[in-house]
Amino acid sequence: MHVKAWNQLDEISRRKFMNYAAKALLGVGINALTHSSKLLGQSIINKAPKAKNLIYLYMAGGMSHIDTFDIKPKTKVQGPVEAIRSKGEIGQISGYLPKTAKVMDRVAVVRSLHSTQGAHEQGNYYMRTSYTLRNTIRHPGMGTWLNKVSGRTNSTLPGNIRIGGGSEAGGAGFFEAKYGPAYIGDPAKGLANRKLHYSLTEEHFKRRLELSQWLDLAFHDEYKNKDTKAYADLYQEAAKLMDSEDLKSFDISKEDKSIKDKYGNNTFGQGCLLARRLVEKQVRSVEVNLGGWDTHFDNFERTSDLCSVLDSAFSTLIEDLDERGLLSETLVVLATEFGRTPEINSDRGGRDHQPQAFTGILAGGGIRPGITYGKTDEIAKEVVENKVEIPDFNASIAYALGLPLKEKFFSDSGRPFTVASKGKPVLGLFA
Amino acid sequence: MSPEQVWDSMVGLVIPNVDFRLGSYHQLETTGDLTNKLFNFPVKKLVKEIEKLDYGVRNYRGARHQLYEALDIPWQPMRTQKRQKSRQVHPYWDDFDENMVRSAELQSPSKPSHILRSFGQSDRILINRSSNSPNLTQILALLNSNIINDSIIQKSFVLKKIESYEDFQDKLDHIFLMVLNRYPNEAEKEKFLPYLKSYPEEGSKDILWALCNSPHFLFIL
Repeated sequence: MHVKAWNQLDEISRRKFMNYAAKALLGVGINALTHSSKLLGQSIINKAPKAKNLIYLYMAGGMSHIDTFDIKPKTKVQGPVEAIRSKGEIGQISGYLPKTAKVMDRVAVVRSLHSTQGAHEQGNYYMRTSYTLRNTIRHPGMGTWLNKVSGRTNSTLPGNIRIGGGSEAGGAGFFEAKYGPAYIGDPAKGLANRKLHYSLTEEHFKRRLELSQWLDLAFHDEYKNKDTKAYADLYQEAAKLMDSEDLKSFDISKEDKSIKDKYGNNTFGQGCLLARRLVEKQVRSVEVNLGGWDTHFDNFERTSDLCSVLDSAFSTLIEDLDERGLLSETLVVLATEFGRTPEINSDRGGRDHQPQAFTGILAGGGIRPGITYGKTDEIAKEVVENKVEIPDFNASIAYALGLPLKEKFFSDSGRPFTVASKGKPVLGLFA
Repeated sequence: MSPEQVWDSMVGLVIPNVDFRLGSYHQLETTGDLTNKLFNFPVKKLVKEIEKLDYGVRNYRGARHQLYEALDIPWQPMRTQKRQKSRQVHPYWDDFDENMVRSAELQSPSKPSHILRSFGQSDRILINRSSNSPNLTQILALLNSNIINDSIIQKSFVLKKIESYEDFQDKLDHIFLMVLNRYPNEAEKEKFLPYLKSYPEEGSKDILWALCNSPHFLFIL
């Protein structure tokens, strides 16, 4: 028999060989292999994404999952926290969240998040970027990816806003600074300095701007680097913003007192209200931060206090978005860097860091409402069902927003990166 | 620059010699005089004296001492525990906003709406929460904030100093010296001298504003 060398085989023979090999070694035909590689490859993109905008609520410090959304009633590790029944099929949640319990039929709870990063800075970075922290590169956050890839819907307002957060993680990363977040410290005051200073007329302001732009040109000729270019881009963004008819969306004083009270008279509550106003004007991404969850000491008192802030703001945000018909097109995410240990420190009454099992929440924007995904063991210490790695969680967010999961984007040094690293979306979360 | 460096640069334009503001009450009787002396010292001469400084002096306090000796100004170290009191009570500072002090003298973290936070000062909730990345909020602060448009452009000692000169060339030299620590180059003179002549009332303020909003201020200073 004449035997051809492998590289001399014709196409049909080669396919036949591959098919035999696949059946023999893996128990499947070549068609199945091709199909699965499509599932894991370029074709994982949500071609009809329901989510246009993102509201990302970040619980800085590591929110205790066992005292909030993954409660283990009648166990030693639960401490004084009582369980209450929530509306819908999700079951019991913490008694610290009575208002949230009434909207649980509209959210999906992922109780099987798993992170590899157990320190704040590293965990925070990993949760927001899907990549581990390293010195040679800064990765973009989801709001930056959304604006870079999908563009802005409102051309005059910033596409990416961060309220109450001072961290660099999840900023512009290696993308241009104009895609990174604009920071709002105090939501009651909105975006600071957005209006022309009272001492200037528009004509006078333009004259001054012309002088500084002349200086810019000379400077950029001499010093060509990304950071100086970033400032020039941001000056253009600022000029567009100052001319925007939608500037009043930053002003929450326009809202009724009753709705402001319902969100909660605190930075986080008012930040959530501002977030709703901004997505109403098609701002693509708004992040609101609530810090203080690092409860190594006095866990139950502090978690109870923080939950009262979270409870009013989160439940009102979901209701408000739903009533205005915005929830279907807005993905709401509640995330944190890690959970906390079931063990209670006897001397401090606190809980320590636990990255290997914790909880995240998704709602709206095509997410199947009223479901839980994944499960932890009887003391919420380990994931026992449907583990979701952080890149997978972020891939699910990106999938909901219609971002291309496998498309490579390159840093200045030519290194390729994707929106959620190697994460795969959890398709079971989608309606 | 770090948020603190940006703030300190701004404050340095608003009040004369920010470090004197930290002296104790009794020393301030003298310190006020010293400040007056520095304030009235010809800037060009001051620059020459600075250029003569021994660059081997790494210690800031030592370098300052050396400079004061060169200018024949008596020098006395200050006492930390009396700083806060002096900031509030000494009449010399009545005309200046009491919050115009170095960032190290302000509460940390500052209030969420403070300009320091816009430039990325840490909220201190966790370690490493500061940021040096450029963002839109910073640009809006440089364009429209009170510290730029009011404190620096309308009321600062720098402006008073600039306006005390009659000659346009002198005015321009001092704007550049005080904001960027250098003289204007030929192209800059060609651009700005005619502007100063065309707008004798507002011209200095406009150029001062433009320099504060130029990349030179954030990247070179």
